[in-house]
Amino acid sequence: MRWVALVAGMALLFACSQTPTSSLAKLVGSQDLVLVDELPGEGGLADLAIVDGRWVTQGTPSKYLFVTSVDTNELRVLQLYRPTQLGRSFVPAPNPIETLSIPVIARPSMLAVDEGLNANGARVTGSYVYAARPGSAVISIVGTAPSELRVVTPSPIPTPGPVTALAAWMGSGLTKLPDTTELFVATFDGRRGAVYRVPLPSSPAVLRAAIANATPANPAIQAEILFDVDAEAVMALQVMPPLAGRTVDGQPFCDTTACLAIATRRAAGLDGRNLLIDPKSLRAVPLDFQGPVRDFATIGNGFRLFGVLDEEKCGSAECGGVLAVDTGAASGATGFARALDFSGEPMLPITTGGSLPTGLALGQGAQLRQTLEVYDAGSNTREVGLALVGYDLLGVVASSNGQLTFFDGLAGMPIDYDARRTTVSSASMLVPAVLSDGGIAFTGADGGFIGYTAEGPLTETIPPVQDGGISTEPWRIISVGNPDGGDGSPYVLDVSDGYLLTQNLVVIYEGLLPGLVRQPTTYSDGTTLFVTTGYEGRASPGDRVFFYVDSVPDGGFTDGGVTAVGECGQARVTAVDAGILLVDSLPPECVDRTSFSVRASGLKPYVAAADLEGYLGRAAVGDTLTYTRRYLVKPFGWTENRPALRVTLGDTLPLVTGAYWTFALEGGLASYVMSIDSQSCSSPWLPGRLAMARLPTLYEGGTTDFPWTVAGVLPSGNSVYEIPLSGAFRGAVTSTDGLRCYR
Amino acid sequence: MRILTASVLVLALSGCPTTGAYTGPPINQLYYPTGIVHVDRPGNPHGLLFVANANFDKRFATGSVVGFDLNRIPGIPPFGAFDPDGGAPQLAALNIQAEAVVQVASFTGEMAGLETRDGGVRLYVPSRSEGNNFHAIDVAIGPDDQPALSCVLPPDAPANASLTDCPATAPSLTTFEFSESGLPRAPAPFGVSVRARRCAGADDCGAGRSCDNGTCRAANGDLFGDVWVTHITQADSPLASGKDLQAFAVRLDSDSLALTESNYVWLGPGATSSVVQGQRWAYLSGRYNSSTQSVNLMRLAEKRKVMDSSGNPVVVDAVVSAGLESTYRVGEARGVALSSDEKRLYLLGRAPDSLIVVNISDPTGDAPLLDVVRAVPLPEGSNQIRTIPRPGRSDLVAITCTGQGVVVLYDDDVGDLVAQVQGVGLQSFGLAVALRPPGARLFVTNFSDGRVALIDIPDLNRPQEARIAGYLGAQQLCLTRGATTPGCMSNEVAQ
Repeated sequence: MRWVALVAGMALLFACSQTPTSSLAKLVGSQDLVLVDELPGEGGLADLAIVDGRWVTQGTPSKYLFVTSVDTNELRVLQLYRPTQLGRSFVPAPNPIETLSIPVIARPSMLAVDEGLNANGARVTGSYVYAARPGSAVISIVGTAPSELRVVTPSPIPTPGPVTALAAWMGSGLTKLPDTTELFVATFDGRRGAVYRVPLPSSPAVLRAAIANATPANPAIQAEILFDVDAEAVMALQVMPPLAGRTVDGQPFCDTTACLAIATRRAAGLDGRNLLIDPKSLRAVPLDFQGPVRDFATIGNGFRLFGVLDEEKCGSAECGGVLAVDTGAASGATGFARALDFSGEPMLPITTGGSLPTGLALGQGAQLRQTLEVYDAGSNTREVGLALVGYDLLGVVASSNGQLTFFDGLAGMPIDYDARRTTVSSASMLVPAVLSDGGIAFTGADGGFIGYTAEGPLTETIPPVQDGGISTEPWRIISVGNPDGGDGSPYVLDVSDGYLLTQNLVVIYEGLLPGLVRQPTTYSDGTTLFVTTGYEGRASPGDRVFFYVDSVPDGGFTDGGVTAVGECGQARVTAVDAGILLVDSLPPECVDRTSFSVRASGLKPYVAAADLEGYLGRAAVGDTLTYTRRYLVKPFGWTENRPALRVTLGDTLPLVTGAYWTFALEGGLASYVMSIDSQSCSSPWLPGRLAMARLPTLYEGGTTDFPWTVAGVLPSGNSVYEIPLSGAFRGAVTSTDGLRCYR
Repeated sequence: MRILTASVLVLALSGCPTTGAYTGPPINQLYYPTGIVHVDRPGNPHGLLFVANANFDKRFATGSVVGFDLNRIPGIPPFGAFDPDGGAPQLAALNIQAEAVVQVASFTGEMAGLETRDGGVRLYVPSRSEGNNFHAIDVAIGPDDQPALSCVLPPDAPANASLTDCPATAPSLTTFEFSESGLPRAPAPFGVSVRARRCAGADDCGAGRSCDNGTCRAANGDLFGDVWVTHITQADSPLASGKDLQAFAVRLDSDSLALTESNYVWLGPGATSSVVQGQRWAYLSGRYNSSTQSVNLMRLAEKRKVMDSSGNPVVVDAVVSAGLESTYRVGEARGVALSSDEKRLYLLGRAPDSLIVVNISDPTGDAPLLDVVRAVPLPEGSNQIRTIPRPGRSDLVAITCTGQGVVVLYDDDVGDLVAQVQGVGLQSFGLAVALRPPGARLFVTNFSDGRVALIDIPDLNRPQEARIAGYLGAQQLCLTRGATTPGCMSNEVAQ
């Protein structure tokens, strides 16, 4: 109780000694934001970021968050840290009951900040924030030092054409603020797109003096053109730090100086170019993003460049998402190649559920709160707990469906929030009695599983799988009996995590082959049966072919085996070729045949299919069927690429046509997606641009830490928000999780 | 007061077949202007302009629709002329003639026009005041380019009905409210679209009409088309119960104001805001539905002719929800426009203000597929949108932003805004386009200041050069807010 009283007393003292602040900025049009670090020499916050002699943030700590208030023609500044005040608030105006307004050009919707890398290769920011808007040929320059939180030039600086993109760069290996910084401006004048470099003195005082002393012959600000192209607009601009060892055709390229990544748009978005340009030699090398890009992001040394794909290429969100290109080495002809994911395959786009990405941010070493499955081999039990999981490169995408989707930027994969391993929850063996349609229709014409029909009692059901199976991180072997598939083992399933969604898996003896069911044929086809190209590989010589007619004679047809409605007779596959199957004979009753189906037989009578995956493969009795596919999400602890599924069946299954095993596969997969709770932030349905960093945070008791935080704008709610990743979790994030909104 | 008196006197002397004194806003000026239509005339460099005056504060008994020959406005700047020193001219005197004014119900919304055979135009204007009226107005244009406006009378209008007092006979879109269910009805009609109907034969046009080179014509030879009307308040059922809120779209024939229950297309819950017609479908933007706390951003509707079980043709309603809200979440929608080739739909979203660019697959099919492919933030209060075709290039898209008094231009080639014209006026609302190759002139109604802003784009390939060329009409702030209000520039508008 005394401690509480003491804290209360301290709060009162602080309240009396600190500067009153305004917490309301009345944002109208929060469209963009930038994090701004403490400048060298400001002191205080930077010292707090050194623990045990090393920095705990990526660079110097971010001190401010600049945010646009587009429709009030101003910027507002959220002060991220005050040594005597819990929480954050907007920087106050000279009259401290008001919030500081920085009037800039009308409707500033694009921001950029001077960026660079310090000697440790970490991001630092400089003296200026730049504000622009599309369709306007002026830029406001705003100071970032506490004494310069205002426009630093008498009037906005003009640009050669309407601005389409902005970036700014100070340099790398910085130990102090450089004398000059470089602003890069992309413009489009209706005919030509261009990129300009504009050197500026880092000191606002020097810049003001230069402007005051400028003459027509000696202008204070001069722009140098770096890129100029007809009928293409530069839509995205990203400064790529110099990367030691970066080469093109084996020759050094942007290895000691920064280069520019640009994305252009042409043909109304159907096409566009992505290029890495050396500002010194003006050599441009393609970036293989597989299509036009509308935004970029990178972090650290710029080895991996992420791009937001332009959905207009295909006309829907189907071709959207986030893709990465590695900029280490390129051939001049093909350019820098698409990044490989953890499995060694070219990365697939990180998608956002059919919506459009609206923001993208990256964090090096960021942590995410996830579920983890802990398996106790002694008790053969599994438990699910929570833990902070670190990522070398964590990415987050805001999207127009109101979600934030996290991904592993280094692995190039979505993150599986549900760390429960993929498993099989039940297994049953069923043997058909008399089937109503004379066969078992497991598949549709497209190869998808559509179920089965049967009459009469089916035979036995084998007890479920062993509890948990044998968990070999991050995959699981599930079996009954000997896990090695030895004597007496009905089945062994080896399922990998991250590949398969929840669905039913069926392995059927002499099953119909998906894609080769009820295929059309006529008398004129003779013994050559035509199938969809690509599906013929599912058949093998020796498989049985069943022919069907539309009208059945009285009494039907009977061949002594399975009798299907309309079935007129059977044949055997003798050869397989592209798009065709050859059969040994044609039953005389089948002159009027209209369709046929192929049923596995011969050396590989087992056919495997699943609800969502469709056809998986076929195998011989006692063999192991292996199914491979691309991953869906990256599970925690995944260290190697491996087959999605292996199935080994013993000799338990009666060798009766149509007998099958069915396994209930539990995927345990879900993309790591957050949304913003509407009770905590008003109108949160459309998040916009993002930032991710370790933000300085003062906790009760006076300790300061730098938790990983995602900050973003909410255009739908006219606010800016923050989510501390250590407190939040998948789903709707609330104020209880640490979500804060500032309006 | 003297001006109004004079106006009334002029009307009385003009011999218009009125049933009573003119009680609308002063005829030589604009008053809370909303809908706007521009008509070009051969040999007339400026064309004619038609404006709906909403009479939003009900200072007068009714609203009005006025027409005037832009060429007769003293000082109107030639297209593309710009005096950087002189600023945009304020052209208060519109020279509106007495026969170029009709009364309509207050709270007018959007306005659309369909040309007639003699170079005139028929205008369509919904009003949200008590009667929820829908007006049609015929415009005859004389050889001197002076427009004469007259109300289109519904079939059941009395023989001596007024041709200038349109509310006296205009159909009410809530006329069926006293049915048991209170439905169908369309309270607060707001958006309107008219488009000439394409045809393969006369059967496609309806009884008494003809098919002329693929386009339907009415019995009198005028173009015949479909008129679609939205309403921004849902209809409860039963009336005044506040329950079972529903919305309709009203489809009318362009050549008749006949209104039956079959003119209503049931949309389900969720009112609509604006409408545009494609080759087959009407595209209706959706308002926020507070009862369900949801929005249906875009619905497509048509009256479809099918064969019944007996093989007889019958017309059925077809409505398709595009489902855009699941892909792009905004609070509600406002204006909507189609690209020249109908491969794109441009939709204005609110909360946040956004231009949502949508690809349309199979726009003439039974179920077109709509996909959001882009979105661009807009200034506050985006309201109305028009596409401006450009030879050899993608359309330019013009948008009014009510909250900021801004008109922005979106270039589909660039994929972003390419111009933001500031200072257009207070609450920029409606938009009309006059092509002036290689450029275009935009006409923008400013709801609160009572004027029309002229914006010239000298070259559509350089839209960033768009600028305000002048203002039409006397500013109304002195009247509506008092002579001491900031922004009152003159006392030109008076009662």
